[in-house]
Amino acid sequence: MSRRLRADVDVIRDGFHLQADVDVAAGRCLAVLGPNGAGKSTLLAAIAGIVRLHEGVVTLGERMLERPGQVRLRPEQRHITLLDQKPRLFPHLTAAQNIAFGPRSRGHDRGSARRIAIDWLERVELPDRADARPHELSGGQQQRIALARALASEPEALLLDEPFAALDTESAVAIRSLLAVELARTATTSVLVTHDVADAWQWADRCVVLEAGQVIEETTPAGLTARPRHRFTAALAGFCVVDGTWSNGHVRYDGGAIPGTADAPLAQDGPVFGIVAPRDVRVSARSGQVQVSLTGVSVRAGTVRLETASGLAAELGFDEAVQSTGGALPVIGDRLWFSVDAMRVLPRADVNRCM
Amino acid sequence: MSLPRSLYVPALVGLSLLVLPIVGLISRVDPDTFWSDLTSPGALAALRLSLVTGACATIVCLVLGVPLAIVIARAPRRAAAIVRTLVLVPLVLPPMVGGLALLALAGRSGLLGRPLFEISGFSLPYTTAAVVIAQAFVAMPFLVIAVEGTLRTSGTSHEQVAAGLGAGRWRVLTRITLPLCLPGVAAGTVLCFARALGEFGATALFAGNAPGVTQTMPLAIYTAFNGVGVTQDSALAMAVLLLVSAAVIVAGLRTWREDPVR
Amino acid sequence: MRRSMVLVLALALSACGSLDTDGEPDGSGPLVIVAAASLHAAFDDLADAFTERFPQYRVAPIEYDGSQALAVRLLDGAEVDVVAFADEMSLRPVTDAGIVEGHTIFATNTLRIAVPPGNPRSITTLQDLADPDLAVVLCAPDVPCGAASEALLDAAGVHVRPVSQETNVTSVLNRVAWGEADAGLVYATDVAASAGRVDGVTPPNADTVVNRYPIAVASAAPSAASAHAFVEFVMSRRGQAILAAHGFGAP
Repeated sequence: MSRRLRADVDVIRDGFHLQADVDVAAGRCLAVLGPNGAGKSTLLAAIAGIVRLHEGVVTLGERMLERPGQVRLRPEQRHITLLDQKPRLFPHLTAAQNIAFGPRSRGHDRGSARRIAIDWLERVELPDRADARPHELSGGQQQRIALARALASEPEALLLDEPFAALDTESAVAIRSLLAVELARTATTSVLVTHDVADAWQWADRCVVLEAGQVIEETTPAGLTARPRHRFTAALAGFCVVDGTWSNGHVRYDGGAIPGTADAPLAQDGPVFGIVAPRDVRVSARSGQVQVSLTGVSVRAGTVRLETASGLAAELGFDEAVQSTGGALPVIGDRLWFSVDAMRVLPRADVNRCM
Repeated sequence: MSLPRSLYVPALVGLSLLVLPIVGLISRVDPDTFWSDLTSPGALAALRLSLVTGACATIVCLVLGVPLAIVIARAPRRAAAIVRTLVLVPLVLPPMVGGLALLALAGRSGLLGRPLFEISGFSLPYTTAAVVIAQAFVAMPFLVIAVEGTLRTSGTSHEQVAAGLGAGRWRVLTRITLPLCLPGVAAGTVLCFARALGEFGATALFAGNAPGVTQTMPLAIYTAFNGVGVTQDSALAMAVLLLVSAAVIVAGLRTWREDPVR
Repeated sequence: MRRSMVLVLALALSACGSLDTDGEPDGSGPLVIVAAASLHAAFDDLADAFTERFPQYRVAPIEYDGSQALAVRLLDGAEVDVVAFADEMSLRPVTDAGIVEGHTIFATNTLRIAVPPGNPRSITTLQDLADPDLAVVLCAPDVPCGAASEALLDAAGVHVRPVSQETNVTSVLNRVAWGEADAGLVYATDVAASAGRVDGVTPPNADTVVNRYPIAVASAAPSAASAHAFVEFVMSRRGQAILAAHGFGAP
């Protein structure tokens, strides 16, 4: 059964203050992104009931899970399961017993719980590992069991904290498809914390970006990548970011000035940052807007990416790159000219902030 | 790693200090009379008493100590530090001081003992129960520290996961917490039993010395070397028995330690 | 570097060893005396009076314990000058081993029933001690005090089940004084020396069981001259007066 999850939380944990308001429609997935330390795990912990709310309310469907001063359901009463990077399988139980733990806690007798567990083992393609102990399984296998265990308890909401981060590529691919299938099949409301925009694209219909305990962007995955409004999301979406000051329609920085357009009026000489997609940066050996010295050259699948110290980067096809420098592939230290039609410019709130 | 050669000198001296007295003890035993010395009536009575009281004390320690360890392991850090210090006190207290303390509390003139005696006419000293209590007093810290250590290392993440899967607090305790601290419980139980077997000072003062009632093996050995009770040969035989059981316990402990659940 | 370490170690060990200032072979070291626990107060006074009278002699702190315990230590090879026990039976194994040759009886002692001050349980006879509700503490039978207690009780036809058997008489006294026992059998001198911590009840026929205290000089005494001087002092009028003042009977 799908339930709508609403969490308006104000949480203080070890001196860190998180304020966020999220709303996930029944059966849908919300992606939560943000730099390290932004409060993503704290948000999940608050929803799961591990951390107490300072203020706010958490509801799941018709049930109020927490409201300071009125009600606070303990984690085991919330029917919310948390799955993170580490499988955290119970080491003293077999794979099947691990999976059966949820159903047993919810009242199933041993036989019925075992049948459910065997069922799930089939779904995660580990039917012959029922009686294996966690230490006999690989990392990818353990995470699959952990996923099965989480879903076998039939949660009303599933919280996922970068569940693929610790896996090798092959296992990550396998578990991603597994999760996609099962989420769709059970139509479980879910919240996915991720660093990968592609994950947001795959599952979520809405995204929320956290930074320093605040929600800085709330949009769809498309909106995230097309028109990011913050440095973090811009970088996430693959844009390059240049810090500078706004001066006569240009972003002025130590390398020069690049023309930019702003959505809203900007203060003259105010701190700003400009965003541009690397593909929109033109490269020439002879002339251009700003002269740069290359700090990085990487080639992947016929595409060359040229990095510079200021954050400006260009991406072009192999042939184009060779042509731009007059016959040879650019190398680190080469001096080239970059040109941009117009950067999208946004105000820079905290001048000294590191990314 | 190759060590500087001069390090071996103090190391060997230290090893000799620990091993040679035991060699000396064994060399005094008369192999012809060893078995009869060990099975003399006084020695058998002391042996039986030691085993029974040691086992009872260990059970008391398990029933009381494991919950205490769990509470300490999950308590906020400052409170846990205070309680842990209190628990460690009997560990470093000279056993005779422990005996005096027990008398001061539960003796006939003691804080709790006096009202108990005046109301019911019952007093703890000189009973076999007093032996069990004295042994539990000195042995429980071992169990508590061993179990608490295991619990602190394994952390609370498994309990949190279990709660997330819908397990209530009792189920978490019995299905997750207790099974995971079993290695610590096993090691602690063994240490506890060994300590209880060897306990002398507190027992002598609090429970007294009455053969068959309160004269445990260590007491019998001590009084024998004070010219009282069983012969010195019997005392020697019992000492060797305690030595052998200590060796067995230590060897068994190592096996447990090397075979964690994880 | 290594040689100096060994040197330091050797010096340290010899320094530890020489802290014990016992018996230098020429007999000018302090006198080493071991005495029964019941002689504690009396012998401390005797030692003080002895060194006052004979300032050329020094007495090392006297070691007190149950006579049987001291016997065990002597048989193990402890080096002493003077031995004073609470009965002749304890001295026998020591004599048999040749550690002492012959002895002199220097005092006698009889038993008393020790009870907490005020005699709350109104104990007057040995028969009272047989009451199973009473917590009675005795010396172990191998201790001189214990042997005497057994003889006294047997003579009166009384059977007592002690709750604890102590290895020296001071422990018996302490248990009664702490209130952990209702009664115990100790020496008359112990009651006198307890300064009110216990009361003494004289059982009938207490005088029939007498502990005769032997004193002897060790055959291999390191300070033989001062040892003999001490024994003479104990037997002298002054010494006997001190013993009597503590409650001991004449030899």
